[in-house]
Amino acid sequence: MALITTISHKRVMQLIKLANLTKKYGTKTAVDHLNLVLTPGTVTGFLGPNGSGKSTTMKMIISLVRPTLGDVVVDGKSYSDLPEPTKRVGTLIDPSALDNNLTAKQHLSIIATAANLNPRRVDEMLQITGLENVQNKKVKSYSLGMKQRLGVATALLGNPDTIILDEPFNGMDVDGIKWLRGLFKQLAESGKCVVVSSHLMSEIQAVADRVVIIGQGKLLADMTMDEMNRRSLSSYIYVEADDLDKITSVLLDKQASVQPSKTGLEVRNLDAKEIGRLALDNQIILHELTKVNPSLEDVFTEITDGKADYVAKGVTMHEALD
Amino acid sequence: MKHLIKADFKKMMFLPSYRYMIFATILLSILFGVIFLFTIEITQGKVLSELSGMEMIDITLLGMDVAAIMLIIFAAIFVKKDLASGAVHTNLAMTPIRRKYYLTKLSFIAILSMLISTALILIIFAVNQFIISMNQMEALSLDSAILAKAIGSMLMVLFYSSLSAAGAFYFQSTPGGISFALSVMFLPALVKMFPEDVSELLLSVFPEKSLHTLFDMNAVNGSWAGALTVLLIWIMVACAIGFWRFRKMDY
Repeated sequence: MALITTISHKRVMQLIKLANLTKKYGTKTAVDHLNLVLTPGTVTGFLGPNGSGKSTTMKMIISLVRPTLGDVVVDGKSYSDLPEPTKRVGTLIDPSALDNNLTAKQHLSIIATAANLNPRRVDEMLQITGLENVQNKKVKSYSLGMKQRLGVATALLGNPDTIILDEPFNGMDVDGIKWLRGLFKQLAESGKCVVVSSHLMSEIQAVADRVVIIGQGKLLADMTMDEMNRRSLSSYIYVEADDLDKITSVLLDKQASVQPSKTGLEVRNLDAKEIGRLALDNQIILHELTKVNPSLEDVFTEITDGKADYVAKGVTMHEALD
Repeated sequence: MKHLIKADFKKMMFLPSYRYMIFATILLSILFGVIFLFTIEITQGKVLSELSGMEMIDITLLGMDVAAIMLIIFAAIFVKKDLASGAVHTNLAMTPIRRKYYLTKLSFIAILSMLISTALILIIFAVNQFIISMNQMEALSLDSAILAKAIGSMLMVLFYSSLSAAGAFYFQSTPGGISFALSVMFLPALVKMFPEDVSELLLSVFPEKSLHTLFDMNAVNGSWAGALTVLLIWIMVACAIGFWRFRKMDY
């Protein structure tokens, strides 16, 4: 996509740095001493339970919320000190941040005028986001997915080096989700830093190179997707064999953790190669030997366990109504 | 900042509600000015044909009060709409320097007020000339007294719309901005209920007297410099308070 230009190699590699970032609202700490570096050329999934401080952190990056402590620098400067902020960081914080009585073209045209951008960018963004055919329709007639597309168009209008999107998959149809995935990959490949928060774990797993998880305002995890797959307790080897009792005993002798599952076993602390060798040595016939990687949802649950502010107590509707 | 002001004008032109409001402001101001003039016999017992050209201008310019009230409403709506949840994220992400954002909005309101009041004064002057010629009266000449009235009227519109914008920033609401500006406009009427020496003192610090001094520069023994100082202090204090609140806000 030629309309998304590659960022200059002269730019420093570190784009956004959050140092000791803290935000308190009265006694409640929304973001707690968060340290993070957002680097170019990657799609970073920004995850956390509801109320974990994701949106507050994003808002602090673009100076919508003032930190209580610590700071955020974009290429060594505060966002508000950047001479042309829209050309450095593009954001989609809220898809409803639109005047319903404007058309998509009018909305983008106002932003382009205010940011002193080439008016041609408006048509280019309408083309990129697939809103060309509805560009003259008022925003009030748009679905949430279309509003999200317009929000993405707004974020990309200044061709920024960093794109921060809060829940961009919300309301998107299948086609829209596929388009967003492709767009994020393209943006990252062109050297841009893409930060995406979403509660749709499968979508983050599909697009992110790196995952940052926060809970109760604290950084819980910051790792690449590969690291996540390796380190998670949720990954295991699924084993099916003709003699489950015998292989269980053999595996336990090797200090493996073994749990019955479906018609086989979930084995941890031993790799597939070792399990295969042990089965051969003990003349056990294996029917299946599969490495099962956890879904991001599994990892997320594992990491944020007990770190959510809002948790349903498991009360049934019948109990609640009694 | 000029690009941001230009974008605000663009927004005003794109949104029908703003366009209609500006159109209504111009129409109602002229209409009320003319109504005040043609009902002078009922309200003040004077015959229209016996009025001097200057008296006619004086009465018709009362339409500028309508313009001031309409622009008070417009300014508060315009400021608050851009500060509304959601919209503010886009606006402040684009203009993260709060001071710049604040000055842009105030400048836009000031420029718009000046443009509208200039247009209105020219229209009111033309309407008066037309009525004068229809009544075969002596044509009005553009002398210093009329210029003073024109400038005084423009300053009044500019002053109250700016107060409304600053009020909307401070209260973060449309009713807050409107109430603030209207309170400053109408409080002098309440102050007059106090004993004369107290009300005299209080009235001297309210902008109404200063605006009248500027409006009637040739007719009243008022110091225009003193009047301008009072207005400037009001504007500066209101703007400073509005900015102080806006600067501290998290969105």
